[in-house]
Amino acid sequence: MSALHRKLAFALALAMAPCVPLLRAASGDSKPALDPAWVAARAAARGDGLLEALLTELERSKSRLKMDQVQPPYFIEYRVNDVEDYGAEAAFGALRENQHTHFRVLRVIVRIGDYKQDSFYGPGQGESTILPLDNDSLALRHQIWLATDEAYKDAGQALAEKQAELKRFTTDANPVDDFAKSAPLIAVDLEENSRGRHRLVSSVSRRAIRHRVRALLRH
Amino acid sequence: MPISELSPNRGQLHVRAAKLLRLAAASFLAAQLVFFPVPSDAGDKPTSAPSTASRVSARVSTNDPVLKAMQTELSRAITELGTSDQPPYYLSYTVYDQDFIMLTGAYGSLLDDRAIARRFADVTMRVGTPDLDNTHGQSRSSGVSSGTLPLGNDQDAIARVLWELTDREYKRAVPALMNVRTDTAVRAEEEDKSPDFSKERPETHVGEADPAPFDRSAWEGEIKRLSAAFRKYPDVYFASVVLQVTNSNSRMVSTEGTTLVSPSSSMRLVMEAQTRADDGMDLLRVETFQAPNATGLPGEAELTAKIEKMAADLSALRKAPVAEPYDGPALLSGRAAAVFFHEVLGHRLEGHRQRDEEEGQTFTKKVGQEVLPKFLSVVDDPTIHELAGVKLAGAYDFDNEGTPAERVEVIKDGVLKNFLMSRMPIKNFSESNGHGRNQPGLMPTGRQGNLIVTSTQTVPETQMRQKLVDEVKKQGKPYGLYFDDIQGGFTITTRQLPQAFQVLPVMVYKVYADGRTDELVRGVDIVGTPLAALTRILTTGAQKHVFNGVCGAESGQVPVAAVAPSMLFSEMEVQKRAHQHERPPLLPPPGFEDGASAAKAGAQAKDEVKP
Repeated sequence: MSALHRKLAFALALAMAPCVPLLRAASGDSKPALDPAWVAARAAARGDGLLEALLTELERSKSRLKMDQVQPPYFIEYRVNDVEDYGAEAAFGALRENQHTHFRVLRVIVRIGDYKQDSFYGPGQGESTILPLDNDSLALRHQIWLATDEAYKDAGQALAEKQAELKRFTTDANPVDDFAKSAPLIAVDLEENSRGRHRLVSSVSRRAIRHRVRALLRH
Repeated sequence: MPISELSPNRGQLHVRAAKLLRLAAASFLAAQLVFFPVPSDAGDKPTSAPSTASRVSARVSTNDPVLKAMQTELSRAITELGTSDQPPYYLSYTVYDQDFIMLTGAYGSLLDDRAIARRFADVTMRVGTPDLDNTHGQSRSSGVSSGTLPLGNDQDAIARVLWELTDREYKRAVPALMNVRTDTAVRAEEEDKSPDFSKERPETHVGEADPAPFDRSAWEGEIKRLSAAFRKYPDVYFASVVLQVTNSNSRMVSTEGTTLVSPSSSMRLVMEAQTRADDGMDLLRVETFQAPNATGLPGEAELTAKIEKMAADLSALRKAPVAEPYDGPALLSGRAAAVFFHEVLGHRLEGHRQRDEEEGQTFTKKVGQEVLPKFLSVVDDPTIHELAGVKLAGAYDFDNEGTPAERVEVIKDGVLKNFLMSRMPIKNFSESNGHGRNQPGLMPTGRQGNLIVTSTQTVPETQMRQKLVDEVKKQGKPYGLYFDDIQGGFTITTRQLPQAFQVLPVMVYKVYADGRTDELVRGVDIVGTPLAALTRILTTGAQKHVFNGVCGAESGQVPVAAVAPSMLFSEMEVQKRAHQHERPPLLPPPGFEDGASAAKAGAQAKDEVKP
């Protein structure tokens, strides 16, 4: 059995940690000051359709996502894995499975509440969907929009469930926070992503895999 | 499995959408009740079975290395197992090659892109005698073992896997036969004492592969363009366009001397669109097109027009009121009537259900009796590949047991004549009529292919709506229901549960007796029981309509078609449909952040009835 599974280094996380302060600023000022971290993230993502789509929906969700009687999100995270998978399986010297798949998976985590007690519980632990393979902005954003919407609704349900469960027990007066605060981190290397993809394509041909697998199984 | 269902050939939805959303002469059989001679008791070397020498001599000359490997290993297996205490009386190998490409587009981009090449083998073995063998009753699954075969032409590698599968199958079949004999001895005598396996003439046919050229990049472009057409409709929350291209080849060899090579190819285009009403009800429109090759699929302009209609339907459905439970006159479009007949009648005419004592056996003892109005006749004809310009999904030349497909006249002028037979005989029907079907890895049973309903009492399609209004007035009801399109259905055939069916309509209209405009409604399913429902058909339209789908039952998923004219029923019951209560998306879709666009105006629904 030989399988080549390559998660291209797209595992990026965009966390809008200071979301609540930004929302407060937005509600009290018609021209809110731009968050420096946000400006820096936008600058770093320039030219990458996927990152730009993620940031656009992140910003829209951060500022507008709100349901009656449910708190707005204080944290939203998007993580995308771009997976190109080639599987070859052989038995008795002959190839018996030959598959190639390529897909992008988005995981969305929306947290409501606050760092001390939030919705990361049960259904509030994230939503997954697949994303388009090219970088068409509208198509990407459509999938991100739907997944974020569902993750937010799930978070609302999860926080209510969690609080109801906690009322059944005697709890520590000073519990450990549900989520640790962390400074925003921006680390974007678009060139490395591209180099990784080329290395993958050039170093592994299907013929080479077939040959290698056959050779292994014959000896 | 007692529940059979039919759905359109839907594509593989992406993860989220799947979560959100949650298908020749035949009536001569009775005259051919020839039970082939078999030994009456133990002594498990049936005199009726062909000798090993005759089996091997049936070998077909071929240059196909896979077929050669199958023939060689089959011959070796039956010769060597023939010396065992419990020799098989039947052994067959079926090898399925499947080359599969699937492209999924959404909102102008490719969402999924996969190409899969696979080769499966089914090793089917019967020990005992054709009268009583290891597949009897609940042991039917002991008749087949399956595995993955090497893709290339390495005969040694292929033979080795077939050898292993044959050994594994033999070790399943022999204990199963012992269990069958014990069960048969200790249980009360079965009502239907038919043999377990019919005798059929060996068939030899080597079909020529004719794979259609596939321009992948051109199709990628079309999939993207078609899926992008949904962008202008903010009410369509999720939409996909899926192209499935399949080139397959089925090779079968058996110890009876059958050698079949049946290549086939198909292209299937599935367009799905979904919205959600304010009360949380998910609403779906699906359009499916199937053809052997690209030239049989509609052109891009026609497909784009379908997309516009789907979006308009969804927009109208979002605003439509939820219908209340109702029982009264109803008009089913041809597609809806086709699914109705597939579920209500077709599944109950499948041969194996007539001898299984867990089954409801609605029609088992009604042969020669009137089960439908006299003006209706029903055939199942897999030999027809196209009808009214539409390719039929249930067409094939040989069934999965190697029997030639036959046109079976199951109901003639309302009178039940026949059943859909695999090689499992039933009382008074001892032979297959070419309807033994299965998906790879499962044992075949009698299944539908192309179920076609015809009528001698027709009125022009344009008069069907008026007929409905007349019936509504006659019964003193305020309105009747018109079922324009359906998404599928299912039926329960076991006797442990109600003999119910459910058909899932999508576009349902109230047609008022007082001349009011027809009103689109949503959220109801057609329900009923077969004997009552089938006698309430008053008249039919003159034009046949086709529903192509995939049908799931005990022997797995098989492609089928159902064909029928529109039908007027004196009485039809609907019940409320269960649905989720999640709100529609909170924010507007990307591209519509600043409110409705001009495109929205173009997506308005046309709430009219067009029977």
